[in-house]
Order: sequence, then C-alpha cells, then structure tokens
Amino acid sequence: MIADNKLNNLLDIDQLSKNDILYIFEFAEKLSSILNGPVKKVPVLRGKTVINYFSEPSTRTRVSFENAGKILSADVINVSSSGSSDEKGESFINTVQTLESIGADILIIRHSDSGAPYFVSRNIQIPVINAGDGSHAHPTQTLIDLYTIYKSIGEIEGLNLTILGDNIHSRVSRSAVLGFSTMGAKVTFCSPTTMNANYLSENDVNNYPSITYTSDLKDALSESDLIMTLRTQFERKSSLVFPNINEYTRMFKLSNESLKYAPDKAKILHPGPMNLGVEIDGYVSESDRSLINQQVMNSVAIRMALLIILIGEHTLDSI
Amino acid sequence: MKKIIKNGKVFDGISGKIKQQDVLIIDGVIQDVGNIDISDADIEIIDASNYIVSPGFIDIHSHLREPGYEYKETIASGTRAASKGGFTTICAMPTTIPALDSKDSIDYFQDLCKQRSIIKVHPIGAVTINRKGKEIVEMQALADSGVVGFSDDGEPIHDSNIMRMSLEYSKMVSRPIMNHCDDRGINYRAEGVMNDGFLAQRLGCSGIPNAAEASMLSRDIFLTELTGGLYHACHISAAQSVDVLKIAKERGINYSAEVTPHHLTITEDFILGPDDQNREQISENAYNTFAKVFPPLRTKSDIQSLIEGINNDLISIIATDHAPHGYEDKMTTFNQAAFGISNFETTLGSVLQLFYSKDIKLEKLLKCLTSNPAEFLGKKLGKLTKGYPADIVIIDLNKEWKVDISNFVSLGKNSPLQGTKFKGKILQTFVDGEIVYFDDKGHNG
Repeated sequence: MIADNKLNNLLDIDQLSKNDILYIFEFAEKLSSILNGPVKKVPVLRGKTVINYFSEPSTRTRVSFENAGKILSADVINVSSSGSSDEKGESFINTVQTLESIGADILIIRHSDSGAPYFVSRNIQIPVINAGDGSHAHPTQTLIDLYTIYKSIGEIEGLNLTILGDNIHSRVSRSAVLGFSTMGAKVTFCSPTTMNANYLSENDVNNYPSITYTSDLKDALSESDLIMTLRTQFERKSSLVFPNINEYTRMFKLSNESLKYAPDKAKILHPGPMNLGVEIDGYVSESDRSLINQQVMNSVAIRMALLIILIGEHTLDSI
Repeated sequence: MKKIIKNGKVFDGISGKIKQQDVLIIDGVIQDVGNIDISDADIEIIDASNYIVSPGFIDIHSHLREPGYEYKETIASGTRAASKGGFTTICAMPTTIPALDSKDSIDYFQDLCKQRSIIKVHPIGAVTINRKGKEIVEMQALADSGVVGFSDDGEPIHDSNIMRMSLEYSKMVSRPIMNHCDDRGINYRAEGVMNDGFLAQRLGCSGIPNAAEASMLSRDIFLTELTGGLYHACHISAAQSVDVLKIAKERGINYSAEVTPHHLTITEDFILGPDDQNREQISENAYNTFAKVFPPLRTKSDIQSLIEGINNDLISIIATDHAPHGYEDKMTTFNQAAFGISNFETTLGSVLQLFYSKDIKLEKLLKCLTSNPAEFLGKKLGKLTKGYPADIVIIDLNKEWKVDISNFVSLGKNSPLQGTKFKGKILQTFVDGEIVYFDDKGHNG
C-alpha cells in the first residue's frame, strides 16, 4: 500500500488498490481546509521544483497542477512543446532528460502518444505523473471523478456508471474503467458501435468483469447512478465513426429529453472540455444533478495530495 | 584445396533425413557426401562429431539498409551478422535510398556487395518506382541485373490493377511478386502500431487487425489464380491468413509463403516489457518499442496456426525480415518508433525452441531455412550434394547461450529477445568452402 511503500510515479490507476485510493482521498480531504482557508499557501513543498511538460493543449489539467504546486509553495515551471526545443527537432527523450538535469523534482507529462509517460519514467530517475497520454490513460482525472462521487454520494461500491460517448479514443474512460472497477462500481459503455472500445474479446473476459456495452441510450441510462459524458475527439478521428453530428446528437446527446430515461437520483459527470450541444446540453451541465463544477474544484486538492505523496516529506498525520 | 567435414549429423536437404556422414569439399564445391575414407596428406579435417551439418541458411527477406541508411546497418555489418546466424545467402529488400527500382541502382548495389559482403547477397527489386505503388518498374531490366524477386517491402501493393498487371508480367520475367499484405483501410488508415485486440485497447494504441492481412492476401491469391502469375506472400502473421493459404492449396493455386522467427515464437505480450508480461497491471517497462514490428506480434492462437501452416506445407519458408534500426529509431514513444526486429543472430535460437517444444521437427525447420528457400530462388543452393557450392553450417544443438544485444554484430541492436536463453548455436559457417564465421573466433574477411 502506498501509505507504507512510497509511490515512485503515477502512470495509471492500475497501480493503486482500493485502500490506496481512499488514502489519497483522506489526504485531499485534509488539504481542502487549506483551499477553503483565508491564505491559500503552505510551505509544504518549499524548495521543490515541479515541471509541467505539456505537448498537447490543456487548460484545466495544466492550470490545476500549476495551482496545486503553487499553493504548496513549490516552484512550478510550465513547458509546452510549442516554443520549446521540440520545435527545433530535439528528440523527446533529450527534452525530458534536460528537464530532469535542470533540477525538476517531478515531471507532470501530457503527451499525444499513448505510453509516453512510461517511456519517460523508465529513462529518468525523478517521479512522473501521467497527465494524459494519447488514448491511453488519465489517472488524475479518474481520482478526481472518484473523489467527487465519494464526497457527494459516499460509497462507490455497487454504483452503476454509464460512460456515454467516444470511449474508443478516450483516455478518461480507460482510466475510469480501472478506477471504478477497483472501487467496486459497474461500468456500462454507451456509444455508436464504431466508438465502443472492445475490451471484451473472447479470451479476455476476466480482465474487466464489470463492463457491459450498448448502443441503446435508453437501456444505458435506465439503471445508472452516474452518467459520464465524453467529448467526441474529432482531432483523433482516424476514420469514420458516425455519419454526422446531427445523427450523433439525436441518438446519444445527454439532454433534458434523454435524461428522462435515467433515474432522478443519477448524477452527471464530464471530464471536460465540453462541446455543448454535441454530447451534452448546457441545461444539463448547469443543472442541479451535474457534478461537473465540483470535479474541477476537487481537482486541485487531489493533485496537491499526489504531489505531496510523490515528492513531499509529509505523511497523512503530519500534514 | 580439399576439406572434409567428418562424422557430422548431416542434413543434406534432399532426403529430408539427418544421417551421420562426411562431406568432402574440393575447391569450394561439394565433391561427395557419405562415409568417405580418405587419406590425403593435404586435406583439412574438420571434426563435426555430435554436431549438425546443414546447408547454409538462405534468407529471402532481409534489410541491409545500404545505400542510404548506413547508421542502421551496412552490407559489411549485415552480412557478418547473417553469417553469425548461419546464413550463407540472403536477399535484400529494396528499401534503400535510392530504392532498388532501376537497373542502375541494382548494378550499384551489386557492386557494393562484391566489395563489402562476406556471404552471397541477391537484391530484390521494387515492384513500383520508388515503392510508391503507381508505376511498375522495368522488371525485365532488373531481372537481367540479377534481382530474384520484386517487392515494395513495407509498402503493400494497394492498387489491385498494379497487382494484377505485375502478376501477369511476372510470368514473363520469371520472378515472383512478394507482397506485404496489409489493407491500409482496415488498418485505421495505416495508423495501427500493434496487433488489434484487447491489449491494444488496454494500451490505447491503434490496432492492426488480422483481417487487414488476410483480406489483401485473399485478393492476391485469387489474382494469382486469375493470372497464373508468380506470387509470394511475405511474413504471414495471422491465423486467418493460414486459412486463406489452405483454400489456395485446395484450389491448386501456385504460391509460396514465408513466416518469420518472431511471429512463430513470441506474442504481443512482449510489448508489455521484457520481463513484465502482466496484463493486469501495466509496468513502466510497457510500450517496449523493440517489440514493435510490422506485421505486428500477435497471439498464441495465431502462433498455433502458423505452426500448423508449416507442418501442413502451407508455409514453406522461414525468412527473418531482419530489420535493423539505429538507437534513436527505437528510443522514443511507441507510436513514433520504427517497426522492425534485428533478427539474423537470433533466428536459429528462436526456431529451435519449436524443435525442443516438439511443435516442428528439426528436419522441417532446416528445410524451411535451406532447400525450400533455394527452390524459391531457383538457384543451385541449399543442398549438400555433389556439384553444389560448399555453403555449409555446423550447428551445436546442445549449446546453451543467452541473448545479449550488446554482442550483436549487426548495427541494429533492436531485439525484444534480450536476455532470452536459447539452446542451439552456430559453430561455423562456410561460403564456397571458405570459413566466414567461427564461433568464439569471429569472422574472416
């Protein structure tokens, strides 16, 4: 367990047990008091350097990591590939090794290639946090989503999560499946058949025992406690996944209309960024049932907790 | 100059059996095979007791990278690596700069080989100009310059009209069209980087389905039936492709097909890392670029089909697809990394695993490495019998060794087999009766 054995990096949720995840929640819970206090600054990571290396566009993840580091008094440096020596043709490995040599204590990486943080992690000594790699994983987002539900509902075990939309290109849904399964939730994927990541092949039924698939929105929503809609990733679309946006929104958009199929208690999540009117209506994202703003608010506490766990001196008791 | 290899377990490539015999070599040519009683003062005696004596291996699919990519491999380094792996004849794909698509470039390549190669090298010409799939090369001119076949190598021939016409034309020039079957439409518009399936989904990587290979192979097989052309299927990797070959054989369609050592022995799980093949928790060793190869490593059931394909003579040739790369080609993310495995030096060790696991008989494996590819080339090679060149390997079947990529003679250190323990090793390699590789003593020439 990570409370006893230090975590060396966070590449994906499969590194964490249920107790590990609860431990991170406890940490975040304690740190929330700082966020809600009058002076949002503590010297917990003073003298530490956090480098955000983002080779893909990002608003919320990058800013939330930056803010988490700054609140903990770390020195935070943001590097994006545009404006860096990436544009001069420097190889990726040289760039990250340079950032390590310059004195980073931890590297937060966002990259368009699946597995890029794994490649980095085995070639440098300092801890790495995966802030989203290609279509593969986004573990901090999953921790934020789980924490948000933990705070608003409580017990996660036994909940039905419906992931609605482009799961084949989605790193959020890949990590969510791992994280929600670990916490004992059941996952239903709902999307056009062309966008359903086929995790369940004949030989691998045991790998994700709690997933079901459907392309019937009514069916998918009827028993859901949680509905997570995903952005359609037009930029990753390598081939036709649906005829046009019209047909997609008619069949799969989360609207006041389609929400009638879901139980009244069902809560709504979206990892952002949202394409309002495509996968979700503004009425829905702004409604009382939506946890979308809480997701963003909780992101800083979770990322503060991870920074302390990975490079801080404090324990849960001493914080 | 006379030499005799005494008391070896000889596989002659003719009888299909292994018998204790002697091989007499005079002036680089095999003079006699049998129990030879000779008491000549000036004869060199090579004692091969307890060792296998086989025709030198023939690889019909390799990449020497010269000219153009000398940082990956050169003719000198590649042929030395090949000789260490027991190869005495190799065929080089036209994936060079310039591509081997003209008489001039073939002549230039042949000249380079004359100066720098320590074994026999035959070029494979491109099917189309610059391997672009648009215009067919001057096939007869290239054949006259010595190409043994035509292939656009890593570029599948997509245009069915080009495929049909080149198959028709192949009958006239008497050289096969060797296609890498991959329907780029099925392969996510060529964005696939590994086998399609659960693991690709788990790793968030675009997959190359078996159907991408099998569907183009079906097209090719039926075009071969239509045209009566000479067709060769490169590196078959998918179970469905073996089924297509079964149909081809049942219909009496004339084709040949090859399989690589890696597709016969290792699965996509190698992408999870050299020692970490745990699908439940992906370790930081995952996205192992040394296991990125095209066609991709597939699954156990595909391996089973490929083994049956060899045992049922649907696939008759083992070819390396030796694809050496430089450090920087593989020292990057999985998506960006080059496809390919440096294979010459591990081929024998790999395929002998199938002998030790009783999946394929030793004689069959040796046939797939010697007499069958010789027949494909239509050359006087691959047999130990009077009048044939003394291209010979001596193999110690029992010698155990461990793969260490830092000891590779090839400039390409890109092997996923680092640290693998093998049983069976090349002791000596002869080309035209001259020793070109001697275990522990290195190379001549």
